[in-house]
Amino acid sequence: MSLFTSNSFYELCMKPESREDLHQMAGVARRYRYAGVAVPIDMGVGDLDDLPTGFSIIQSVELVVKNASRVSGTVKQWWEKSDCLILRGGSESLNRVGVESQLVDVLSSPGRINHVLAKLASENGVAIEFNLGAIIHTRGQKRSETLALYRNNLKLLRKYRAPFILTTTPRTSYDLRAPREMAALSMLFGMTREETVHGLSTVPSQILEKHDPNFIADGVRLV
Amino acid sequence: MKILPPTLREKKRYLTVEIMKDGRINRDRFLRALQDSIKDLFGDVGLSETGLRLLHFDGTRAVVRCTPKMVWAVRAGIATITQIDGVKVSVRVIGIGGTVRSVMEKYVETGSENMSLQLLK
Repeated sequence: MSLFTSNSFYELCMKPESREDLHQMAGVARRYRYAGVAVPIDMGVGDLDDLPTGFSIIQSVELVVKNASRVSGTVKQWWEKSDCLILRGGSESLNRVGVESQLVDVLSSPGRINHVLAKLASENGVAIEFNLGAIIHTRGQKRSETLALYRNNLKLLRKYRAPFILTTTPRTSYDLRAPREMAALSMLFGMTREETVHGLSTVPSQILEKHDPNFIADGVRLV
Repeated sequence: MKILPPTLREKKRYLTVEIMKDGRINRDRFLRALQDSIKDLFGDVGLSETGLRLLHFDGTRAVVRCTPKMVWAVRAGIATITQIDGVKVSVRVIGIGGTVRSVMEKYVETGSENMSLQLLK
């Protein structure tokens, strides 16, 4: 199963509640063979010591904006400071502004997307988030609704070749899932194993590359 | 009565799972939780197709048998277990094999040594 051993995986939406949690979760994530995790920038990971080697902690910013007209200003302000910029979507106007901005890396919890959003997301390289935590923590009708929603979103993302990421938005180390388990969960709504690897490894790597100071354009680097 | 010849038997896969928990859980509760979570996802029909058996359980490691076709379904079932009787758990598959002996030798008996090695690295 070289698919899961030859790639480096990232969990981009970790939300630990305290620094002890972060320490524990980083250890567990590493044991699950993740190459890195992204945590909110205000956790202050800069001075975190005794980090295992070969494991990176990425600083992310999740913007929760109510008024869609204020998004573009805030996005510009935070893009430089973070390694991964996440915009919490939800409403029609917020989703639209999110996928129209080239600076937004991830649009989280977008709800039901349509062909217009998928197409724009593909053009601007905005990754749509699949939150598998919703599948893990809910049961019954609510879970079946989530699965139906993800199935619809996946269909459109495939059609327009838009990027997507997979996450469980873990708050404790018990919410983390290993890459193969993520694949098993995403197979529930029709995703293939190759697509899972794409969402856990390829897309996050591209996002991180974009924030690299030596990055100029897709495929162009300052050396 | 004659036993069923090996060629006519169902093929099997043995999954070694690792259980991370913040309390005590017993064998029966674990099996029940696993069956319930697979049943929630795939229904009674799906659960019957898995041919699920719990062959070994020592609190932190367990060996689960299922059919090759349903390995990913069982994995999904395992991934959706969040708590057993109020004890927070997180279960993950650490290895799959074709015989009980191979998985016991590779993942269960040497398990604790492997883990400490991984932490040292």
